[in-house]
This record gives sequence, C-alpha cells and structure tokens, in this order.
Amino acid sequence: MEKITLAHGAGGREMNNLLEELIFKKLPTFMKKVEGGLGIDFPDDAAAIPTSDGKYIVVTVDAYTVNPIFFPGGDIGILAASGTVNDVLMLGGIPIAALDTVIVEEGFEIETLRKILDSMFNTFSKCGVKLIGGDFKVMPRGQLDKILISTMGIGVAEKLIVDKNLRPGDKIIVSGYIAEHGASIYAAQRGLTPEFSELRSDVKPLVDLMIPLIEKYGDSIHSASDPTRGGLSMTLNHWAKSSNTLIIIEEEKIPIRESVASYCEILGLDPLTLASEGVAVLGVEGEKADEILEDVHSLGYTEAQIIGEVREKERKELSLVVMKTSIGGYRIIEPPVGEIVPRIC
Amino acid sequence: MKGLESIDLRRATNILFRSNRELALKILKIIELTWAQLKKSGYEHLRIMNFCGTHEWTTTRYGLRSLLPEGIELLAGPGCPVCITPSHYVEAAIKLSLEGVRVYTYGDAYKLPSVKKINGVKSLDEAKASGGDVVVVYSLLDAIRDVVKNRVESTFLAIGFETTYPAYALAILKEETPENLSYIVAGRLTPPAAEYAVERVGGVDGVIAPGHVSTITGGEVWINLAEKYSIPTVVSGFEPIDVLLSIAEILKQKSRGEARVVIEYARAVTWSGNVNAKKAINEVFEVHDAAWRGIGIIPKSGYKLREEYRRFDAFDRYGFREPTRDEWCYDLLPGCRCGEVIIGKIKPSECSLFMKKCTPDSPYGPCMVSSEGTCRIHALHTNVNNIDEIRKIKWIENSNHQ
Amino acid sequence: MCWGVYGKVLEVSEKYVKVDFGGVVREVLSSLDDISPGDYVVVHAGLIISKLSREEFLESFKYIREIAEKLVEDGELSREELEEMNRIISKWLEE
Repeated sequence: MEKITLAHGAGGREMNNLLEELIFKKLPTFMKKVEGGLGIDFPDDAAAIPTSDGKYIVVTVDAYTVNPIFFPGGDIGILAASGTVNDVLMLGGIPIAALDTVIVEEGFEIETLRKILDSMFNTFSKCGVKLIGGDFKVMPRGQLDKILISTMGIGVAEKLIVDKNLRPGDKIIVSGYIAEHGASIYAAQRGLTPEFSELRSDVKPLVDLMIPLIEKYGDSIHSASDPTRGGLSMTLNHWAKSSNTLIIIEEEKIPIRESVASYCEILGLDPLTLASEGVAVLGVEGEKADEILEDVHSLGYTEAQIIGEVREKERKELSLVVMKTSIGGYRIIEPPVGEIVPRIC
Repeated sequence: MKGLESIDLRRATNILFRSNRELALKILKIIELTWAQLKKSGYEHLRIMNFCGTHEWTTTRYGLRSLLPEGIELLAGPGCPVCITPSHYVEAAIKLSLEGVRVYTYGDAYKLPSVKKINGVKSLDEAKASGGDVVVVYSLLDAIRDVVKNRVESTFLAIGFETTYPAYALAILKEETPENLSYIVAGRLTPPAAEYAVERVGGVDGVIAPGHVSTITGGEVWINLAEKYSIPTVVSGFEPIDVLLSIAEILKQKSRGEARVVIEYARAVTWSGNVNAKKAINEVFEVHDAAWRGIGIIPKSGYKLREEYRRFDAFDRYGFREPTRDEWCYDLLPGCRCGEVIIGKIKPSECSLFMKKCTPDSPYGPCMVSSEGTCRIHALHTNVNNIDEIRKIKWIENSNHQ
Repeated sequence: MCWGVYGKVLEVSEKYVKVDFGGVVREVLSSLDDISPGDYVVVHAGLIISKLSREEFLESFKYIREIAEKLVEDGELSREELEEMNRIISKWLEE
C-alpha cells in the first residue's frame, strides 16, 4: 500500500499530485470558492471573499512545524506570524487580524512556550495585527514533535493581486537574498550543520515593504508571492503555469549571499528550490519596473533586483521558466521534485 | 596586478571558469571554426561521451547544449554510481533498515528503487516511511560521528567510484570505523566501464573523462581509450568553461587525426594521481569481476574488502552474498531499458516507458532517480536537450532585443 | 559522478582538516598528508581528494591557445581576436 513519505510534504510535484488527487479533483467547482471571490479554483497565497462595498476579505491558514523550534535568525513564533501576515499581503490584502491554534506535546517547558508565544505576539503587534481568537491543546508525549502552531490571517484588499494576472512585458522583482531560511533550517535539521556558518533565516513580516507598494502601485503589481516551500523555482513555475506565459530570468541577477551559495554548493543543493520566509517576488508592469525597484530599495530592501521578465509563449510546450545561465546558455527551471537531499555525485 | 601566488583560487575559479560569458563566447567561436573545418573534411556528426554525471550536470545546469553548433552531440555514458548500483545492494540495505540496523546512505541513493520488494518496500525512502532506520548523510564522517554518539548497530551503503572509495579505505586503515559499523561494498571502477561502453556503443568520437575520478587515478588510466580505441580523451574539470575547453580540444585532435589523453583539469589532476589514496584503496580492497545494474558483470570492475578487513563487510556480517556470474540476473524491471541508456546506446525517449510509466515523480528505472541519471535529466530538461526548442528560445531572446 | 567543491584550508589537526568553503566552514577528512593552512583543496563527500595547483591553474588554456594559433595561421581567426581572448584570460588577475 502506498504510504505518505516526506516528499509528499516537501512542496514539490509529489505534494501537488497528492493534493490534486485527494482535494482538487474531489471538490466540485462550486465548492472551491465563494461567488465573486478567489478560492482553490486558482490556488494562490490566500483566498478572498468579496464584500458588499466592492472590497475583499483576504483569508489564509497555515500550520507551522519547524525543527529546531529556535533556529538562527528566528523561531517558530516569528515564523508563524510572518508567514500568515505575508500570505495576506501577497494577495494585496492589508492584514488586520489573526487567530491561532497552538498544540504542544506533554512535557514541553512552559518557559519555552512563553518565549515562542511572546515572539509571535511581538511580530503580530509590529504589523498592527490583532490576535482575536484561538485554541490550545496538549497531546500525550510522543504523539507530537514538541509543538505545532496553526495560524489564520485576515486582511482587507481594495484590489486582489492574483498570480494568473501576470502578463507578457512584466518584469520580475525579487526583494532580497533568496534561500536563506531554507539553507539555515536545512543545516540545522539534517545535522549537516557546518562548524561555522553565516547562515541565518530571513524570516520577517513584509508589511514595511508591501503596504507602501500596494498603496502606491496597486495597479502595476500584477502578481506577488513569497517563495516559501519549493523556493523561487516553485513560485515562478506556478506563475508561468497559471498565467500561461514564459518567464525568462538571468542567473547573474538573482540575489544570493555567498555563504548560502557555498552551502548549497557543498551539498549539491539548488538554491532556487530552497525557501525564503522574508522575501517577496513581484511581477510588475514593465514600464514601472525601474521606478518600483527604486522604491523597494528606499524601503530598506537594498538587495532587491529585477531578475527577469515575462514573455508571450511561442508554443504550448514553452509555458516554462527559462534561465539564462552565467555563461550565456539556457536552462529550463523545473519545479522541485522530491524531498531535498544532499548529493555526492 | 596580483600574482597567482596570493590569489583566492576559489574565487578565481568562479570568475574565470564559471561565470565568464565573454570567455565562453570566444571559446565557442573557436569551437565553431574548428567544427567548420571538420565538416569540410566530411564530418556531419560528432559524438562526444562523458563518463561523469557531474559533467552531464554541468552541461544541463549551464545550458551548454544550447550554445554548441548543430552536429556536435554530447552523450552521457555510465557515469552515475546510483544508476549502476545493482539492485541486490539496495535490497540488502532495505532489509537491514527494516530489521533495526541503521542504514546510512548518501542522498543520491535514497530513492533508488530495487527490483524485488522487501516487505512491500522498494527504496530506502519508502523503508523510512515504513519505520525503517535510514539516515541520509553528506559524508562518511557524519555517519561515523552519529554511530559513535548513538552507539547503534549500523551499516553504510557504500556506493561510489574511485573518488569516493579512499574515504572508506582510510576510515578502516586509520581505525576510525567503529566495530558496530559495516559497509555494503558497492564500489565500482570507471575505466573498465568506459571501455565497455565505447566498445558496445561504437561511433564515439571523443571522451570527456571524469576529472574528480582522475584526481585519484591520475590521467594515465585513460590511455587505453586513446591508444586502443583511438578516441581523443580529455580529462576535464567541472566548470562550464572547462567543458567547453575540453570539447575544443577533442575537435582539434579529431581534425588532426590524433587520439591522445590530455589533462584540461590540470589545476587538480596529475598524470599519476593521488598516490596516497590509491595505496589506501589497494591495502583495504581488492578488485573483482562485478555486476553493473542492467548491464551485467564487467571484469575487474568492482571493489571488495580484502580478507583481513572482511569483518567490516555487511554482506559477511548479515549473511548476504554477491551473485556469481551464473546467478546474476537482469536487475531491471520488465521493459526498463536503463542498461542501454547508461552506456549511451539509446536515448531515454527511445524507451517505451519514458515519461509514461516512468517519471521523475514515480521512477520505475534507476536512471530516473539520481539527479545525474540520464533519464531524469532528459525528463526535467526535455526542451533543453532538444536543439530545435533551444533555437526557439534563442529566437525569442533575439526578437526581444530588436 | 563525483561532486567536488573547492575550499581553503584553515587548520590541520591529527584527524581532521578545517576547510572554509566561502562563509561556511566544515571539518573534513584528508587523503593527502601534505596539507597546510592556506592551501586550496578539492573536497568530495567530506574527503580532500586533491590540492589545487597554482602553477597549473592556467594550464587549462594551453590547448585552446594552440588551437587559436593554428586558426590564425589558417586565416580563419584574426590575430586581434586571439589577443582579445588572451586579454580576457589574464584580466581577472587584476580584479
């Protein structure tokens, strides 16, 4: 009998196939969204429900488990709050409230729980998000690995930023160094921690970036995502597929820190498939791209770059992401497959 | 100007060999000119084979096929240790993991499917999902440290070629291998397989020989390819510029009617190799006629532990044994043509299972598993491997700049 | 088949060698005895398999220069283009 493997949760093809089979194919279309809103008919960062005054309520829900729960650059509390806030932002919503469910394992230290919750509250508070409800459960020892936090985020959008609206001529902006969270968690999790490294998670809420951009460039930003599981490669492939376009990116333009690139090189990992938890990828109107990039820089995201652009696709097969490599060759960027493991060959 | 004495060679490699678009263009021009000369003398196609999955990786990762002139074909030979690791090793590893022995594996072999199912399980990742004790490591040192810390009975799925084997040999010689750790000795030697492949495939015009294997063996082991088979052979580094330089050299030898072994990867490879490492391997292992997955037994192509170190052999310890020549049976699933793909005889698309029953999500044959398996590379980069498609992409690029 | 990464040796102890891979430091084993701090090495699966040679570093270009010279002789490539290539090869030394 086929069993769930870790690959099914790695955010790649296996997960998509499984969800397709168990959920997307099973639900009739009318069950997939609220009339006039956005649902799992076009899976995006969050879902939306229209309101009577022409706006949208943006909602998202996520479960967070991370090992270790305290990692270089953050902890599961900041991760849960940031992830939720960012998902609302990426659909064009201004986050206003959140609810949480915290499940802990019997024997978990209350002091540790206090630290985690404090950092979650701090993050929400910095973002102006109210925590308006929640649930708390304890599981018998051994039935849960320490702690699981599930958070739901709620926001309001004037206009939705929907990935499928990406169009030819748009430019792709990445707001900062990629793969930082993925690389540092990978190092900690796999016991492949180097003796010394500068690897730190980039986890952070992106309100200071996204709210000004949404307000100023609401019409010029055609798509937005935070490249979490599956990394930049997953995000761009999702975009190309849902918008029916060809995306061409330049390897040299992709911002990546040397230590992250080195770590990936040692283990033979592809940084394009590793998660970020504090980076936004934006598909913006070509003519506005330089101006938007300047604003992104002035908002403190100085590593931001225009990494590529969107083209009309020539043929059906070419609904793809293509990278111009450092020496000028072309390579197709596929969505990641399988649990990410280091390689020696 | 800084002299070579003080320069950061890591950075220098990046600048000079990895991301130098300007230099790539110059070399490509030389390749094109030499190719044009060759065509004048009657060549229509040139088939260059690599024997290293990492060369195949460089080729795809940097899109080299999209840059080369039409007619120059880059073939992948039997250079992926995962693809050629016979099924019986994987089956033994699965069985042990399910019986409570901790199995260490490189990530490369984690999803490698076996032919026979063991308790319904046909790969180490499935074994782990079914409660087997499987740990993915990056190095032997990681595994040894884990054994010492957790004091568990364990075994290491020791796949690999000449490059990977010094680590096992040294860990045994220097008495670093804990007594409760054993090895599933699946090591193979590359030159015998390379000769086997060029013989069976025929029509190989040039060989890009594996640079990292050659750091150990030295460039000298490839002499047979050049002398006996008259094939220009270039020991190449793994940066895109290295591979382009090697292709240029093969074209040059071809145009002059020569066949020599040349070391392009001179910054890391010598003619006689790593004497220390070779000595260590020799002390611990002997060479035997060994099975290659989907291919069969190739004479003098595998490592096995010498008598005095046999106590570290997982097969001895747990009562498995190597199949004899008569016992060895084709260890691919029905219909799978990985054996022919591995030696470069057919392209993945010529196998009727390719992208039908056998996909990256659900691999059926071993070549679809490893990141350097030919089928997987072709599956993930179908269009990159198709020159026509690449011209389309180039066209899009050009039209945009007009 | 054999993934190899370059690093700079920081420390050599009896059993292990500490190598800096560019902001990431790891302990590895060595198959070579004559390793000292400051050396650049090739590491495969946690084992030093080779030392990078400064003397041979530019040897890779020996053959392409020969080919280019021949093409110049044949009148297929201009002398300027050959010199341009040589400039590109030595330019990085100044960076």
